[in-house]
Amino acid sequence: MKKLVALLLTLLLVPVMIPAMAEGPTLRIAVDTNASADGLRAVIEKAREDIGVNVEVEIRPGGDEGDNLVKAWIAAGEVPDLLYYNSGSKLLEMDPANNFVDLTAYPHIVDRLADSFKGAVTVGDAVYGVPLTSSQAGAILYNKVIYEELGLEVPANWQEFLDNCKACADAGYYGLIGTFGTSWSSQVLFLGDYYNVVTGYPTFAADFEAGTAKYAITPSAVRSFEKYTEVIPYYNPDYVVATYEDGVEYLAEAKGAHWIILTQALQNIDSLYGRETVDEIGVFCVPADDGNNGLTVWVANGIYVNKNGAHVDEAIKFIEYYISDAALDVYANTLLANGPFCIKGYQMGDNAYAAVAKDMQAYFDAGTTYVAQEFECAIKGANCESICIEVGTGAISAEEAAAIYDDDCYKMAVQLGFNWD
Amino acid sequence: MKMKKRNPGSLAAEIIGWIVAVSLFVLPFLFVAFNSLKDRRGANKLNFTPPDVFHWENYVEVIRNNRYQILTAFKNSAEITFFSLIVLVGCSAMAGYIIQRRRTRVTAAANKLLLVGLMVPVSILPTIWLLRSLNIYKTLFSMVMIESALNLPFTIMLYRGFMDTIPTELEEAAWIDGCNKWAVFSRIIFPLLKPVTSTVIILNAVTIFNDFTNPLYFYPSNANVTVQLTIYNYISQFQSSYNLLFADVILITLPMLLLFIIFNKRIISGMVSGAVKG
Repeated sequence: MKKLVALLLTLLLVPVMIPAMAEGPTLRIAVDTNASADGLRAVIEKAREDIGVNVEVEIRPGGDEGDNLVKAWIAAGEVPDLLYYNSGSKLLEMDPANNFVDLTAYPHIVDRLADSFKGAVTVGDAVYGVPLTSSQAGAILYNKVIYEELGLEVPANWQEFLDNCKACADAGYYGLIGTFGTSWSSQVLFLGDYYNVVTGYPTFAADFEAGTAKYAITPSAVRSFEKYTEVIPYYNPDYVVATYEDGVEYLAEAKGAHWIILTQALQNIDSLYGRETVDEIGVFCVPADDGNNGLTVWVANGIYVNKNGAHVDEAIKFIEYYISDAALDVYANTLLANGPFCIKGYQMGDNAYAAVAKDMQAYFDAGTTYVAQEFECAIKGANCESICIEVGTGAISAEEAAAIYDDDCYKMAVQLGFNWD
Repeated sequence: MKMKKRNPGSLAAEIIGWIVAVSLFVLPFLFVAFNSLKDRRGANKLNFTPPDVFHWENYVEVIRNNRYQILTAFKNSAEITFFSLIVLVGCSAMAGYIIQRRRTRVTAAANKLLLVGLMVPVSILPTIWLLRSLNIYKTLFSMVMIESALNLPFTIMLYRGFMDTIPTELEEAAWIDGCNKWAVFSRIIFPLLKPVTSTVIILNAVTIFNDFTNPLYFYPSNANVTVQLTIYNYISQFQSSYNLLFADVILITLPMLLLFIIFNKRIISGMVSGAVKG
């Protein structure tokens, strides 16, 4: 019996090894489930025809599980040829200098990247990635049908926004949709208010990294947490447990008027409710107290080329093609954009969502946008979600939240090797 | 069914038992089944209501998704499960036999080692490093070895417990009749172990077939996908399709569910007879 088992297992090795030798190079690209792969797949199809590079998509888990998996790949030297991963602060954790190809050697690629994105994939002097998706914003989605019915206007400042919430709540709608059941969504008000933090303190990110600026002692930063306490009366009754999926339903079915969320929700509303409904959704930024408004933008996550892979040249060829106008057209037709692409000189087609083409584009045209904090500052407290939920449910005050968040960031800063003492 | 007089206490206990069993096992299953037949918008609300229209095409879509990925996944999971079971049953039956029958210092040490095996979790990076240095990373062989190693201690303990119930006289008779060591085991002992073998097969088949983390880390790439990993295709931060997710869950639960229903009685008998410690 032992012999039989041994024989069987040896035989098994044979079929495993055959496919590895069979064909020419097929690149592997690993993307997580949080990025819809439809657009990528469409570009890959086109790339096969246009430049003759074969790429195979591999879906990996997202979230913490995915982070662990990617770190295991890196430690084990098993990174696929092309890897999709966060840009901004999380890229640092991946030790990019040893794992990813520095694209500054390929100026025709780097020159295409918009500065906002380039900043998010630059570590030291090296630039590592190209954007997988369009950019998006952390902003307030609102239902235009309710606005029309109640005769409301897009608020010019924070007080007007609260008035609008109150008007909607009085009319029987949920003034503001909260979806703390999906914990990441609780942070969007805090993170999306970053434009206002920066207008109050232009060098905040740099000073914060240096350890001289703190949330608790910066008035415009404490203000972000105060906004949480001010909107509590207008939330839907189940806002503590409602999930992201509930939020989509409340907004699209006009049960709630406002939802502070990433604009990627538009794609989801589109696929669930159709084009007509999604065009009834508008976007405005988290308003400032003085009406000096601007949009906080999440630049896209990146595709990185594995430096130690066997097919670096083909992979470079592919990402070069990926950011060409032809490829972007294919992408944008498959998957409508949640915001502008981070590619210089690329003009989106005219089939974009109303919220993106009119509302968001207006901020970009006026130049009143700023990247979210995680793209310009390496330190983000690990418990940000929980702190936002605590302050958003009234369990702690805004000042307490700011102080707790400072402590939380201190731990992260120490871990990342910043000298904060 | 035979009529028996029951006292009201046992009747109440039985009713409570049924309620608990139904709410623990039947209701979740119904919830999954209902939602797997709704359209995406309906399923994403996660309500416990029967679907208005039956969307059987969810199942077709799940099967066709990613170029019939689920079929590859079934093949991979089945292979891993099958070969791991061969290794597990072969090694554990022999080990359990020896450990229970021979009381020497070596077997006592082996016993302690088994306990360690139960307690110490698998660490990912050292294992990957080891697999790579042996040049067997991402092979079916390594996956089979990992699954076998992880389930070996528990399986050996089941066998050892069951060996207690087999009288030594049978073996002595076999020795006298001229059997050698190998024949005693393969002709006398192993057939007697049948009840616990079926328990072992079913318990391990379910564990290995449903394993998620080990294939995720030790057996990556599209060609090596296993059934539990296919679930990840349908859930994400921004766009989840619970209808397809649940349809996938139903599809990949079915084989093990059938196995369980068919072998239900044997599992229990094997567990109970192994439980009496000598």
